[in-house]
Amino acid sequence: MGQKIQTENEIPPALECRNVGRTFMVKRGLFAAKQPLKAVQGINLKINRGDVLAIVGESGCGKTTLAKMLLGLLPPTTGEILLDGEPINTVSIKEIAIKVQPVFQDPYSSLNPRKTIEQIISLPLIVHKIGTVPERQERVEKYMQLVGLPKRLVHSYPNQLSGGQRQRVAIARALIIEPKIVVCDEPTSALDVSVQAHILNLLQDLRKELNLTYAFISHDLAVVEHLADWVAVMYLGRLIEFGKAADIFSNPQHPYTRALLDSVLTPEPNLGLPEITLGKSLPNPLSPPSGCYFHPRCLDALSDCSQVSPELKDTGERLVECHLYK
Amino acid sequence: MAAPVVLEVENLSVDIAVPAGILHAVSNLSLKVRQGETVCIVGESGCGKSITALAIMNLLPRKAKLTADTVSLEGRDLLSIKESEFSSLRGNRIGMIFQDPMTSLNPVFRIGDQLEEVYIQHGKGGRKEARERAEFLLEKVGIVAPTERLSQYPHQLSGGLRQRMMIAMTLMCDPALIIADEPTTALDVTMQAQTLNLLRSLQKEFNTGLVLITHDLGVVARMADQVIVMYAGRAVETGTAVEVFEKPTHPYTQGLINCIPVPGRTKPGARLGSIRGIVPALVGDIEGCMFRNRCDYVSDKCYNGQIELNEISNGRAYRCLLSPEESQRNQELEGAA
Repeated sequence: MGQKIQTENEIPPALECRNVGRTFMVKRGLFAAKQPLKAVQGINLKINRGDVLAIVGESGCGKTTLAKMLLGLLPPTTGEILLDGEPINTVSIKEIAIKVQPVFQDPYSSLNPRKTIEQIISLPLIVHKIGTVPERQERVEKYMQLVGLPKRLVHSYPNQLSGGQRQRVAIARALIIEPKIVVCDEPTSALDVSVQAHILNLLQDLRKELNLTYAFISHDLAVVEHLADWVAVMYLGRLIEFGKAADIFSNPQHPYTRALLDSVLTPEPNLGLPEITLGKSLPNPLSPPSGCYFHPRCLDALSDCSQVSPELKDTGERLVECHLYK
Repeated sequence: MAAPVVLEVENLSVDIAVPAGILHAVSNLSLKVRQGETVCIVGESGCGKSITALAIMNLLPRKAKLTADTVSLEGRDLLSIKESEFSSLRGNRIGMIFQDPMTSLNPVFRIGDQLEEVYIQHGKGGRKEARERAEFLLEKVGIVAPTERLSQYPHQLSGGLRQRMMIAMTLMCDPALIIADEPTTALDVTMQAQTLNLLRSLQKEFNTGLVLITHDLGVVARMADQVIVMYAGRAVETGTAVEVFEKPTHPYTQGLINCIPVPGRTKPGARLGSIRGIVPALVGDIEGCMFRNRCDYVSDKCYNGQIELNEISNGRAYRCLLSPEESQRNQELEGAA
């Protein structure tokens, strides 16, 4: 599965997920036995160097769990994650951290309020024992310039910075040890629109300049369309559609992807509100529906859909998990 | 457009005393909401949009001082009435929907009790009528099995359902005006469209005026009859949704619209437009245009005096010294770039 979605070159993909799954054991009630909750299951993905993979889906679909696994913060219970062709479960978290760095959603809580900007940005260098003190200082200045932070802020504290500046600090901290992959978990959703544009432009520039690979988690599909090369749509822990961003946006195949795209509110006043017929909220992941996980909300559901789980079909260009997709 | 005016606000200002001086949170804001009409207040954080909502509801913090020429609801002057009279209006004639439905519902009471309380508190009827009204409204907001839902607690409902409960609760007393402050920001995209659709259809059905406060330009474009773009406590542009989005006249509105990626319109991967600089501090006396430090078309004139709202036609106005033609040309050049 997913084998065909790869360019012909022999370089291993920057990031590969092989049948990755994560199950949590959760307790419901004081004396209840623990039940398995499949937060993520059977994910097969590949991203090549320099590409942007966007992971989209509703809250609770497992996108953050997947991001944590990519960062090595959470070991997968099944399958394996490979960085440059090497499985990450065999190496220590420190080695993973050199290759993969995160940028989180809320720059107000992801920066230590008692450390200066210099201390925050240089922390990865200290952890990985890179460089001498003057070298670190020099490198901090270089990266501050790269992300567009004025030099005078070097001894400031996060509370003296605006939201956009804080997110720049978070990006500088992520980039300072020159990772290959940056996992961005909703990096702009806590920001104002004008600031969001700055950060998106910055991420684009840095990607070109440093040949970075992004795993970009977002619920804002307009942002995803703008930034991503590949889009993975998740539903209830499963990958239900995967393909090139341009194809997915112009020709979504899975009914859920279609509903997601329909619900994007673009600033076009003449269009009115879309009629979203997608009923009910996300089903309980502890007792997922039988057959296709999406069938209770699907308008095109056939009788088979509630009985038989669809397989992830691979047409070379696209992966779709739906009975209707031929 | 001849529907009766529900809410009229003229020259509303809110000043807040802070250690550094007086913070002008809102300056000379006017707005008018008619029956069945949606007025959207849009702006970035700190522009005073939420403070405006609180000011209309008379829920400002004690340190804040409100001045206005007029604040009236259904022709009734709200500036001179006592707090006790105000509390008989809130939840009754004015309903409010907040961003996070989890924090605006009380976790230790059943949904039904919370809905009924509003009705009984305002003397609309007894418990039996309240229950009937609640069940009726729950069906209206598209909740299946309303009787069971009413006996549940807020934590048993999903975010989307909770927000529907909030909408039902606001409608319990059939208010003349609903103020919704970022009602869908905490919801998923699919839920957002559904919730907005619901709000829209109920508002039309009950002929309620709606003030919708949001930072999301997509929501504004799709929901608004009238739009007020706020910047630094002032209205910088007003007009119908079509006017504001198709012919934005204030450089700030133009900047905002150019900032956001739009599928099908902006080219993927292309640079987005951006507004440089940051929002100015609102403390102390301010002369000239608030946007001048971030504006690409700034001139010497922008630094002096008060820049008044420049009215193009009825309801269509912008606060800038550029002529509409000049700023239109700027927008076209920007769009072409």
